Amino acid sequence: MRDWPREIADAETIVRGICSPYHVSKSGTLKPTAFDPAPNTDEVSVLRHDWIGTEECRRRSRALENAEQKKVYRGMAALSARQIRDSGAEVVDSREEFEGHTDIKHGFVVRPGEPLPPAALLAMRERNRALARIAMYYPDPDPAGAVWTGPPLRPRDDKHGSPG
Amino acid sequence: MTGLGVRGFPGEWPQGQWMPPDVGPSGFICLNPWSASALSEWEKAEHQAREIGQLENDWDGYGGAGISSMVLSNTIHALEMLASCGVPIPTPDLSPTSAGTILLSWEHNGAEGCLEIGNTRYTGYLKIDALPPALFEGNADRIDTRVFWSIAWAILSPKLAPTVISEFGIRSKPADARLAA
Repeated sequence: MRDWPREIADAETIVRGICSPYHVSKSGTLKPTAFDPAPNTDEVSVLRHDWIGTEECRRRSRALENAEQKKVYRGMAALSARQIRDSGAEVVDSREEFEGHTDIKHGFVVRPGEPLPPAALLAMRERNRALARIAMYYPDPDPAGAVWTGPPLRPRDDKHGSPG
Repeated sequence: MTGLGVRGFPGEWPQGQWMPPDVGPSGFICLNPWSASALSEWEKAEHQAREIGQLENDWDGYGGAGISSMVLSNTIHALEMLASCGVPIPTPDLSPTSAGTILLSWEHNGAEGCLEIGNTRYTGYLKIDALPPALFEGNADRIDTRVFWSIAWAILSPKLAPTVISEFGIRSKPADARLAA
């Protein structure tokens, strides 16, 4: 497992764990802010699905949940590395965090408490909207269940708008 | 155009600056009274802002910064100004950001407006189809009323977009400095 290459192939499936209420709209679609970078970084934490598999991706995503903060695990979003790169972002391996961890790198560093400069805000919003639009969102059919019971996690097929 | 008062704008409208259209003979925008449902929508928006204002550090599970009381106060103030600016703009979609700021966004008829409100600064943009975007920035507790006008009219009447864009596509100095000039 540890020999998995650092280089991320375009065809690899990349997964982002999704929690509500603020990453999913009332209509059940992903919000662009679901792809905001963490403060003081330009990095969005994601997972290398092809390396660690659906169950480990789900375990990591469920660990985001926090009942005290009303933060509820809802499911996972899948993209291909190529789709991320096509949006203008980079995707880089960061296994130092844990096995399978990787980062989407926006190139815009977010500072706590203050907005991005307007041109950067526009650029990042447009990119995040593109990522939210192209990402294939899989609501977990049984969030409390022991295992994933939904369909296989695959990126959206660019041509047909459904999992490829 | 000079010497006119515009509801929601303190004092006289600055000479030579873009003026919202459809100004009545008294110099004030002529509008239908607010409906009860519109007021209710703004009350809901304020309620939602207060809910967002309760978010603490790591609210998204990815280390997102909590929302400070100052960000919330600035956002409530912006919502109050929007609700009372005299243009029946729809309520914005409100979202917290990982930076601990609050995003106000609108999307309608090919126009997109966005304001990100922080502790001391706000930034934003207005984008209409393929036109060059207008970029805004300034002090978060004193958002230039014309920013609200621009977004409102662009959302409500995209055909006015060229006027809006040409007047507000300037960001060589902050809006407050432009007003003071």
